[in-house]
Amino acid sequence: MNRPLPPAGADADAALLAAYAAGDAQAAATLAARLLPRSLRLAARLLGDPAEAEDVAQEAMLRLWRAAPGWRADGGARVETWLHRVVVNLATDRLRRRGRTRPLEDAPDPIDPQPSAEAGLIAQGRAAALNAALGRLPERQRIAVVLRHLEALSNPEIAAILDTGVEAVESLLARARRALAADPALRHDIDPDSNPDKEG
Amino acid sequence: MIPEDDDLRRAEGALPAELAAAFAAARGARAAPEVPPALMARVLADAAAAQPRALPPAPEARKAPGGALAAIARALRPLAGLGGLSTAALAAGLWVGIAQPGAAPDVFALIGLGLEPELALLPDHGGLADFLDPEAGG
Repeated sequence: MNRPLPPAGADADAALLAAYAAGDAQAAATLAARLLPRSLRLAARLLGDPAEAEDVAQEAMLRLWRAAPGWRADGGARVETWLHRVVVNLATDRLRRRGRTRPLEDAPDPIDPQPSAEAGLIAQGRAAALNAALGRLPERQRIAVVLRHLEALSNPEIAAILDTGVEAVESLLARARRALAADPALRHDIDPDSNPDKEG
Repeated sequence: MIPEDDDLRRAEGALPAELAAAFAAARGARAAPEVPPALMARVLADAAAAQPRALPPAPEARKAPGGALAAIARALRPLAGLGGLSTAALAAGLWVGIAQPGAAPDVFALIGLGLEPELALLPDHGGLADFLDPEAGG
């Protein structure tokens, strides 16, 4: 059966989840096509390890399948926000287990675009510097920055994912931005002509 | 590109230009990540395994074959266990009645009466003895 793809959005995801719970096999494929790429990307950004990111994304999707029969469309939770929360929690657990022994800056980035050699080098340098600086942030600040500035989620969405208030998210982001702006590795990489020794 | 909202643009507009550029570059990277086919296959296999199945119709909703007698037989089927139980109970009782209590003590000897069990159990009541043995009574 060819299901017409509903427009993206919270209602469409909830409707697909309800269809899946009612036995529609195609609904699972449609939902996976919509939700899995972003979950995988978020996991990769948090973990810095493609294999671990795949495991986390798969586990998060499995929890979504299992939650489908009891999902309440009027419960207030968007499917994607719920899934992001699961991804963040699973990734955080893994990071704590491994004690951050593998910093983010070591993560490969196999699907970066390569517009040109020079631009590619600059982009790679920026990405490496940003990842290094992110890796030095406290855990919740780093997660908040990834969700806000890399995934472009809204502050209320981040608050729902982190199970906290919007003001707490704003506070996390403000502290993280100050720390990133002051990070010497990031400043050195982005402005190669500057002399860090002269900076106050 | 990952869509940006106005609030995000404003927030990054207030950042040092180099930091804002790094964020923008990071959003551009991995904007449309490819999902490895093997991962998608695993996820869909999980979905198939976890998907609730349509329940089979309830037994009473299915058409009962065999007509009225078969329905009565089905209704009495739970009593079949009781039939087996009564057979077992009868066999056990029969065994208790047949089995010889070979080691049973002589209770009259034990209490010192020295009576013969026959006499004690069937005392001489005259008429009854005559009835049983007319010659003795004659």
